[in-house]
Amino acid sequence: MANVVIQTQSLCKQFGGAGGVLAVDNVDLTVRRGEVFGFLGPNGAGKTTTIGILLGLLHPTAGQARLFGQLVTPRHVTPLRRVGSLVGAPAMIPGFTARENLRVLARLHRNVDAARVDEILDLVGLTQAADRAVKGFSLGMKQRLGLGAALLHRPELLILDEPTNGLDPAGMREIRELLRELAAQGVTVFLSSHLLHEVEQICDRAAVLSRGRVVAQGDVSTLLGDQAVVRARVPDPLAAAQVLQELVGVITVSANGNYIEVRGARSEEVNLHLVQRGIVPSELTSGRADLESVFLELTR
Amino acid sequence: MFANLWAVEHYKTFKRKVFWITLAGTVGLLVVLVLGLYFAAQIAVQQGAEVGDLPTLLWPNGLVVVLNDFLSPGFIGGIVAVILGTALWAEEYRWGMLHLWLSRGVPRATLLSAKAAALVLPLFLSLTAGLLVAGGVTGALTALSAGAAPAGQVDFGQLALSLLRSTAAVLPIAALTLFLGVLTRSTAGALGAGMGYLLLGEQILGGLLGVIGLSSIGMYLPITLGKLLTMHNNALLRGFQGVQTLPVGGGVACAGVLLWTAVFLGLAVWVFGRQDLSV
Repeated sequence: MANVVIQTQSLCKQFGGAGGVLAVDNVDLTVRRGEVFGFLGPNGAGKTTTIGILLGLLHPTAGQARLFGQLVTPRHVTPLRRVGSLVGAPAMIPGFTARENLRVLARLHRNVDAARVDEILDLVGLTQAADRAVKGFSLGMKQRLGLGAALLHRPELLILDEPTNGLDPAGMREIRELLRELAAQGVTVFLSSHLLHEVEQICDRAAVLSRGRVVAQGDVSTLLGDQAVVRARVPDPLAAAQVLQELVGVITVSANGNYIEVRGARSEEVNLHLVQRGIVPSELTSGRADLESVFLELTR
Repeated sequence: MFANLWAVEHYKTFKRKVFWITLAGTVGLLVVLVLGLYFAAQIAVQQGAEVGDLPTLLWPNGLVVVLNDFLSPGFIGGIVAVILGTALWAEEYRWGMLHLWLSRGVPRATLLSAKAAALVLPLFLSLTAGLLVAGGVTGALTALSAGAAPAGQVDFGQLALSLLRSTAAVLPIAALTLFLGVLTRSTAGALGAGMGYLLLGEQILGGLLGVIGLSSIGMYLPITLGKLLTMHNNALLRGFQGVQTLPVGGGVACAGVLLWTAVFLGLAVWVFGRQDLSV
């Protein structure tokens, strides 16, 4: 348990009272120390609501959320002192400079001095713009500053919602590298992102949320491995698809032009099954699904 | 945590333009009022009218008029309280600053209390600046009219105490604005509802209480109590013996405004503690 940084148990959030919208429905999550955890889901899946509960901004309707083993609700916020977060549009005082905004935050923490503010500005690439008013910043610059604010007090857990939003490709790469580096230093990263390749590249584990429910959770490699795709060119794809439904372990079969795509079975099983039923594939390929196709499959 | 937040709020307030604009606006408005009234009275006198209000704008009365009439909770003092209360709380909803503090483990009640406490000094400074500048203008006008400002006739100790009482008198309005900011979660809502109550709401409420025969209760409404407190200032500064003739005693008025402040802040903490803050 000491190794678990985030844990939610049967977490629910309903807006609008009884009969309202169930935004989070019995969500169970476990995030361990030092891992980069991806949190995926389409718009409206309940990701931001879950994050809102984890940050003590929303009251859960049922269930509980724990950070570092301690309960978190709007009335129980002590564990949040060990958390840095960037959720939605970065919060800033528009008329203040980047340095002033960080100094305001620094005053809240005993372990943050002026040198740390400079260090953070350098880390997020804003040293040159440190004394410019934030209201003139681009979205990417604001995002960098928001990330800097999240890192300022050396948190043990980072909760980030779309941290690379608004960044150019080089900036996105820098942030990804930074997150990996932080994880190597023992910082746990909880990353909500729409950029599936980003999650695929930097996350150790991930959870997929759909309509408020966790539909998959585990190692990214396992999530992808479970979803290997076998593609076969056959004379009658519809007939082949029907035949393959009988094969044990098959999750989905779909016909696409002259091809069928099969998930949940190995290529040799597909080949053997088709040949035994008189359908001879003229082409057979097997590939690992990317996270995007897994995501689309899980959230369909 | 509370002391850190309180210091942070002061740092933010004094670095933000809205405070300095409010301060400049308060001072400017007071100077315009004083000069406008003075010259209007001068013109009236030249046209053969009775001396009328002219002497009240000269020292020592000029200082009392500035503090107790112009900077009263029902007028410029109240307006300053609404503006600063809105800027300190409701605007930060829009910027997401409240979410930032709360997601760093700041308890909601501590955040709100620190912000409320951090309102006192800006309010005091706004009233002080208004009194110093507009009081200075009345002094200059006195010197212009009478050759010299009779500083010896001014009880500066009592004036300083009156400044503290005047600051206390506007606290319920600032606390009400905070509460409205929490309730509406919007700058326009807090500013509009705060100004609405200040300029109309309490008068209507007082009128309605009068209609149903409860006008004595109307004396204990927040702005009315604040005004009564500043009336005691009047009496004490001018050395009147009429303190006892006011419907509510000075101690009761002072306790009343502090109680209203606590009630509005308590309500704000209660509502804020139950709110879901969208991310």
